Amino acid sequence: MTPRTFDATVADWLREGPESGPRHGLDRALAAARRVEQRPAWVFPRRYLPRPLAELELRNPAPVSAAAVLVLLLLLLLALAIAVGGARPRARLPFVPVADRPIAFQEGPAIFVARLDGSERHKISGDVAYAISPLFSPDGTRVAFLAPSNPGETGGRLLVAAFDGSTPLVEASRGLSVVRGQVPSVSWSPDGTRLAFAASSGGVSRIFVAAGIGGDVVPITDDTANADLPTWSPDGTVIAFRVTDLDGVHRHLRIVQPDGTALETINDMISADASFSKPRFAPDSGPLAYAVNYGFGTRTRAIIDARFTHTAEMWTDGIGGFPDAGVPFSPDGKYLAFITATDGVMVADDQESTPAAGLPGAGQYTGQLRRLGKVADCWIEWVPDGKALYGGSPDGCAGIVVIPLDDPTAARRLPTATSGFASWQLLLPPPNLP
Amino acid sequence: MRPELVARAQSGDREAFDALAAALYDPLYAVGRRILRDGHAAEDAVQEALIRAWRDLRSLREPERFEAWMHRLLVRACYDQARRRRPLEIRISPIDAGRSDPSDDIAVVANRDELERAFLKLSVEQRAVLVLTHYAGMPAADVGHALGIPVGTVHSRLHYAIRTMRTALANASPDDLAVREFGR
Repeated sequence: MTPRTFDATVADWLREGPESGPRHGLDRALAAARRVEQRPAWVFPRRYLPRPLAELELRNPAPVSAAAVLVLLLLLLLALAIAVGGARPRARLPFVPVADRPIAFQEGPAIFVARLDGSERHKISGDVAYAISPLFSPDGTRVAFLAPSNPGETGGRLLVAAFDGSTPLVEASRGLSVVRGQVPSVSWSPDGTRLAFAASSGGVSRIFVAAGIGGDVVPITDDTANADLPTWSPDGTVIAFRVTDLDGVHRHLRIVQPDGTALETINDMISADASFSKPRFAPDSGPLAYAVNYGFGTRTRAIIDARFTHTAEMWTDGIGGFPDAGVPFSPDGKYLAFITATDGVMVADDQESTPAAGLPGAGQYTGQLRRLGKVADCWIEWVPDGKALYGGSPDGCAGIVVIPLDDPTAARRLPTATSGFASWQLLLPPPNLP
Repeated sequence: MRPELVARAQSGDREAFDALAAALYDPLYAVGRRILRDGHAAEDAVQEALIRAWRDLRSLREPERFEAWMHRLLVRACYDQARRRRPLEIRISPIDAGRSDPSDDIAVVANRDELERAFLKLSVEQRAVLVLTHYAGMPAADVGHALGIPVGTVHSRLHYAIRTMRTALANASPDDLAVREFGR
């Protein structure tokens, strides 16, 4: 076979075989591409200059004039002088329409309520030696918080205070030691009359419901597995929570009615290093969202679970901050927020989660992801009007930041010296603080 | 490929990008399938190329060169696939046939098997040059652009690829049936 003949033989052989790919391959590729955002075109500015201009610039670098440099320096000095000496006081968080609603936060060993600008700040944890993790009731009249006996304690009492500090503290946990994890294991009922919480009982963490603040406390899970991170559904019909069997390997996400009946499993995993986060309900009490790690060294994902039909993975590249904090829905249910391991805060829309054809239980997330950047750490929650997020500050969560969605670069740290979790008052008209 | 469609996709129009992807999917798959010699790997490579294309589309300065750019992304994805997938030893059933008579159908099949084995002895970079040149019919300059290598390197890779295949075929024995599906 001559070389020419051999080339032709190879060409003929290469022309054999399929000329087209399977249709599902294109669909799959397009669906995968839809989960990705385009990179901006301004990463390497020179590449995006019109070619003649770029070439001109390369061939004939402009001579740098000493006078131009001097003028530039003078302008910089002038700008610096204005910034330092003549700046007007900053406006009070003008981008947050609900800025007049109070926020509950931890400062030092106590819980305070104040307006966002730090004004009208007052302590509500009384003479409790150490208080953490405040949580406003949905009706905005009370704040629940944990009171470990000391900062190293793994559990504590669950106390309830009036948001204005006008009434004595009430212990909702009735002597039980409420679990103090990475994330608070406490949830208000939607009407604000009951609390679900995880507490240690006989060495096992169980879910309890306090029927009326200061009233009876009833367990709604048994002692065959550790249960924590309860979340009351917005319609009040069920409580979702996570379960770890006593073998430490079998893990579940479950829902149960507030009286402990009708227990159902949402998701299961079997791995010593697997994990579920706190489940978060959509406002219509339908889908749940949570972070999940399938174990075996895989990365934590953020998923929407349509409950018994399908799940869809919004993000598969690792969850940052406190993974147990989960993936909260916006108040209108259209968006979800989470902190990624690599890309900072992410907002995902929940418009296009659909079951994937032919794959029972598997869904396809085709919504949009929006990167807000590394503007928060540890935890993230929605401001009540859904137009901003608030969370731990990116400097190790030593404070609280508020991040407007329409301009994340305008994220601002609240002037309160806080740590741990905070909670924004939700529903009431702006109250009169003492 | 219509540059205005590319421009629309660059401005974030997903429907425009879908149209571009639909038009190019089959040709890209065919090239990927021939470089990797595996349908599933080719699907993955095309998917990866399309994802990268959407992600980095705004970095494309010349929309009229979209197709060549897509081939570059595809070949890179093929390289990744070839390196990612564990080399897999497969065995091909021997066909006892005289190789001298091209009119003999069995001999043709045997020649195909031998060509397949010889092709799989090439590096994935050499396979890419062969496929783009002899299957896609691209001139050396376009192959060089697609692979990000000078034209001289295209010619040398072609030369060594053909020589390697010829040597492999010349040395092929009926016992030499274990071949590597991916990688070098």
